[in-house]
Amino acid sequence: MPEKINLKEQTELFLQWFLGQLVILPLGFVIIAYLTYGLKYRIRELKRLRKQYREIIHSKQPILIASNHLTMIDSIILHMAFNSVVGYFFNYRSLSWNMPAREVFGTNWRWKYLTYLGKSIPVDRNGSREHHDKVLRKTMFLLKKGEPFTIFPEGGRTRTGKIDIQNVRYGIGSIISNLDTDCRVLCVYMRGDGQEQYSNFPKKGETFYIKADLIHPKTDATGIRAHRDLTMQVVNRLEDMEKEYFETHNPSGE
Amino acid sequence: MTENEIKDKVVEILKPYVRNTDNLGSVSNSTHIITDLEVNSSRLVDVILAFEDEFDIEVSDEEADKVQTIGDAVAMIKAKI
Repeated sequence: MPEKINLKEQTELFLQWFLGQLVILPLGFVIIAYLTYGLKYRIRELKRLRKQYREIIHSKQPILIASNHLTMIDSIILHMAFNSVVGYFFNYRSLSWNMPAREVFGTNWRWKYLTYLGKSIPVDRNGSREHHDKVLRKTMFLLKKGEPFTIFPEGGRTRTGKIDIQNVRYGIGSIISNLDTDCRVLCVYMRGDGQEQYSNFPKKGETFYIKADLIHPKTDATGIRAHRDLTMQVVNRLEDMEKEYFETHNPSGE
Repeated sequence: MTENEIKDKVVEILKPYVRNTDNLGSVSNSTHIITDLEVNSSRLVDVILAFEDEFDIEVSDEEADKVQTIGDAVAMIKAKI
């Protein structure tokens, strides 16, 4: 189990949190206006989703948000789905933290600042154990403070367009296992009507289907076996949600 | 159990995860599990857990990190059984 977060790391996270809240109104409005009026993105059953999220986030019990991953801006679409910009300003805790891949978002200064101000902790997927332990420490610290955290269990955008078990990493199970308290997982299946494969961005005019289901993964196993067991409970739920999607929706949107 | 017997079992365990099956026929101790056999790095954890089950051993995270070649796997298992 990684050591606890030190004072310097706590201060860094607090500063990031503070600066993020400071700019959430102007930055959030610009982003949401661009997505809503520029790219004409729509989310079905938005009110129901926000009500469900509000009820879940009300408790400060640790919560991870685990979603399938098809485009580079999935985290932003989820932010858009779960609360309004004003809602995030008045309840900044409800904006979930993210773990973007440093090799994708750390190469461009715009993405770098945007992810920093959008409550993100970049992770180098091929980084050392020390680096992953540091990210894990920060994640657990935030979860224990009641801050929601979004994770994509597949590690990256799925190349097949469907949940790809072959690329699932057991990081989410490791986090749940290392927390010494119960951790809830909000499994989220999201997909634009016109999204057939993975892409950088969803198509213009896209309407999103988003379904969320709260689970409480548990296991009697220990070590990496527990990480696998807990991760697979989450991924299997996501697979079921994907199956439900394809049973009820025409992926071509016709 | 001899080193060769361990190696045979290691290769057998790796088989379902190997994407470059051409290299499977010429496996040696220096064969790299990820680069030569093209085993998905995300699946290495499953391979380690399969080693634990097959040889009735326990592998720590640090030990698992050091397993890169067939020879590394064989040496680690031999030291534990």
